[in-house]
Amino acid sequence: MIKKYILNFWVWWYGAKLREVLQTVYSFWSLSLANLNILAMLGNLFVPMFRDQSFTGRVVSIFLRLGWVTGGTVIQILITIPAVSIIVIWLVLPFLCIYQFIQAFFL
Amino acid sequence: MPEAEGQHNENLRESLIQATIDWDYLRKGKGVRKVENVLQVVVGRILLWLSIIIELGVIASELIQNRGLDRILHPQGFSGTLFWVVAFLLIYSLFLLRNRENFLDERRKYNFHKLSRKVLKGKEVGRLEIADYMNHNAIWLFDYIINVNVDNYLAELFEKLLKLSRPQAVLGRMGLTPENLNVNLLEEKSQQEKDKTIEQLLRKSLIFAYENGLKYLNEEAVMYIFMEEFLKDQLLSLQVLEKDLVGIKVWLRNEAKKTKYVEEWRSRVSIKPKTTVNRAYTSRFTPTLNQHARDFTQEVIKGSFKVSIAREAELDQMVNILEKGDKSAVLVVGEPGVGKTTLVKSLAIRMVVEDVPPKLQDMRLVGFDFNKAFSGSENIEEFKQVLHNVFEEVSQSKNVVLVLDNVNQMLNLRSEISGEIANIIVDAFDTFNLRMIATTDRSQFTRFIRPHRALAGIFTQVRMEEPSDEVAMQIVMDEVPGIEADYNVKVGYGAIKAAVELSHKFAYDRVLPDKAIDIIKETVVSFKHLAGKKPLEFDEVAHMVSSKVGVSLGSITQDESEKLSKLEEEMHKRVIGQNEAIDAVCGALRRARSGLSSSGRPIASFLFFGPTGVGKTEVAKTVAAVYYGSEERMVRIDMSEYHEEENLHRLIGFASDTGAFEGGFLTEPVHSNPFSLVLLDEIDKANPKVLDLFLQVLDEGYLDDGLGRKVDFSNTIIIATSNAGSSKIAELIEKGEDYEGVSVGGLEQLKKIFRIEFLNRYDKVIMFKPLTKEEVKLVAKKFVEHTRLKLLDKGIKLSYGDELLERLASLGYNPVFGAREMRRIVQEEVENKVANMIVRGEVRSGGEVKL
Repeated sequence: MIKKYILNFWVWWYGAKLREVLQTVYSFWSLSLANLNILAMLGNLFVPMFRDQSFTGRVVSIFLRLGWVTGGTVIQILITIPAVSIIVIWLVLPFLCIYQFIQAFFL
Repeated sequence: MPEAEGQHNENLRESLIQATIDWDYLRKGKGVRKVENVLQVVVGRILLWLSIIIELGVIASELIQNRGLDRILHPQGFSGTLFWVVAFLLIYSLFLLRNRENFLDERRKYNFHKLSRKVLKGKEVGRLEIADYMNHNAIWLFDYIINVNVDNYLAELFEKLLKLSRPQAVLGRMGLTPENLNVNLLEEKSQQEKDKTIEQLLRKSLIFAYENGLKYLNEEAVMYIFMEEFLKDQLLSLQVLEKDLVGIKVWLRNEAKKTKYVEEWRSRVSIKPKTTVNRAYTSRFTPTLNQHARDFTQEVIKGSFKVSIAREAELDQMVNILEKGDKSAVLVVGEPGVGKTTLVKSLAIRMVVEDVPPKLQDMRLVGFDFNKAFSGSENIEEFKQVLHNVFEEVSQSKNVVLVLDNVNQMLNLRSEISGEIANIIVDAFDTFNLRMIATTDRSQFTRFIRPHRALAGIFTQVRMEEPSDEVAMQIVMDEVPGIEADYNVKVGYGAIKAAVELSHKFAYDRVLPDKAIDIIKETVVSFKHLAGKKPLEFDEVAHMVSSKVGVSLGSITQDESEKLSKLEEEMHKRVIGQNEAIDAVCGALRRARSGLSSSGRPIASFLFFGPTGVGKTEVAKTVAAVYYGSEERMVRIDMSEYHEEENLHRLIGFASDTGAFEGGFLTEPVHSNPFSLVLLDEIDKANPKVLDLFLQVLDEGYLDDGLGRKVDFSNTIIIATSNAGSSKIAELIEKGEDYEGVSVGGLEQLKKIFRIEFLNRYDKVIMFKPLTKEEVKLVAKKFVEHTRLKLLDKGIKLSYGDELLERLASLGYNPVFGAREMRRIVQEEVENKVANMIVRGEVRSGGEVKL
């Protein structure tokens, strides 16, 4: 009984469910990375956009791609902050409840 | 399959066979796992909502009392304590409501999809534990059955299985309900040692689940193995055959794949480009192509999801060819309705869910709409320009796989234009390095593509064969809900089965699944009055098909049963004597109607031999009238016209000097009306090469005509006649030999004319003996009776005596022509005399003529 209803809770919270939370946060994070197209833009930095092989086309393409990468990186960092926060909250939440309860009740 | 991958799969199979079973884990639920889980979920829900209400209440109370959240964040007093206690209960309620597929209890869960990826990456699999791969329903089932203490444990397991929705769906796919199966019959099988039986069930289900792409060892896998192991006899008695189980396996595999694809699609669809440019913006816009094309990948991204059933091999072939790089072209060859467009759509799905090599993952699959482009062009020059622009855009964009659906349409133009179009495609392929998929059917390929050798040469062919009946059943079942919704009629399993089975007898020049779907649609329209009353079943479909082909199909009705049992009587009304021949023919017809005749061959085939004028042709006519409903359903060919080998092409058709196809005298009528009797008169006079043609017809039931079409003879009755051996027959009869003796003697004569393998191909070689004097008199009577009835219509009574019949018999029969002259003699001796009397006014209506 204790194992099933108490120990298993901790195994689930810090095991299977944590893995699920990490996966969800990571897929959200990588989804935004893919949507922002940062890596594709970086990887094709010197490949002209829309296959415009002219000199102007090439130069404009590099600047456009650089701008895209910079803007995208800023947005990605902004997305990373709440993503990390969710993981941290998940990790501390049960202990925080117990700690606060002990503090309120005993201290 | 690469060697390394094959080795990994072999290792994996070995690991699956040797997988361990954690019996303690499986039985620890004490058989009440499901009840306990349901209780946990109920308590979890109550706890969750109570916690939320209390937490909101505490926060609201603090805010109302203007204390802010300070007492909560720095807990003091009752409200602070309560808030954090309830907060913990809230997160605990999430545990009670957890997804049990990921965490049932402490055992870590895996799934076969992850395992496959591991294998593909070449990682070692090592030791496997079956419980790790079971979904929670399967664990609940085995937990229950291991713990329950009843004699008929298999019945208990089956009843529990049927409480779950997916196993019920499996039964439904076979047209069964739980009530159809008698669990008491499992008692005998439950005598086997329980532990051993359960272990076997588990192990077989594990292998089945993995091999068929299921994510877990789930209740469907258990259901399938259970049916295969313990219910086969019962299923057989319910007319669920081995092949139907194969169909279920195909369906389960497809459902698993669909589920996997939907999961992948959900996770990837948002990152797929919504415009025609790729993610890296290295491709170009394609305005002309967009104007004249259908974007299959965009359709998938928007949610159109139709996966081909059992077409993995063809899809893999396509992917392998396209993966080779630029300048790769696939030609999908399959009959219309076999699912070529669905196959292309399936490739689009695989591209979107990235179940293709990386080179193809960020590409578009775009179908060029020839009709739209052609009709939108003012002249052929403009069309050629459009085509050129499309190819150029495809080349420049570098992210398009171009689909030319029914490419033959583009070439079905005046020959010089068709040649130009073919050249444009070939040039574009060479110059622009295109990736292309084209589709066509076999006859169109022969007609329009093969003549352009350069064009035919650029394609690698992928052949799509007609799916087997059991796979077609599953495809049709997926289409049926749409038909039901459109027509507001319920379509039963029996109707689907009938449509697939009988489609071979009806839409003979089309293929499954399309023809079966059309039959269902036609039946639904014919039986609209049943809407909302009862589901359509086997007999409704059989009735519709029967009315189309003019031959009774489906179950035998009471009337028909009587007619069949009195077939000999019916035939003797038209044919005098020849009892042995008529018995043989009637037996064959009854076998055909009861479904016992060999499939894939003509319904029946006979060689009638014997003297002329003894009823051979009359029997053939009678068979056509009795079996096919009319004497008109007879294709009569005088084989003496095929004495020369050169005339062979006249039977199967040929291309004339003008290039038009002249249909064959044999193949064309059978192609347009396959439910016919084929009468080959005087077969002994045909050239031996011509006879060779019939070896295939008699043996395999089909013949390729001059156009390369397969003409189906499996619904025909073939009767060949010959006068060979007549003199020998007469000689033996004079010597007093009985029927058997004469028949053997006549057959010896036939063997001198025909090759033995030709004679052996017939179901029966039947001798027609010369008519006896009494039989000739009966023939005469038949004709006189015919005249008597005609006169009776005019109010004139005709009476005659035995002397007249004697005289007619002696005049109308001779050993050379048999009774062939009887009709003429009756006309001269009876009809002419009566006609003269009527003309002279010697007899009027109400009068009587005595002859």
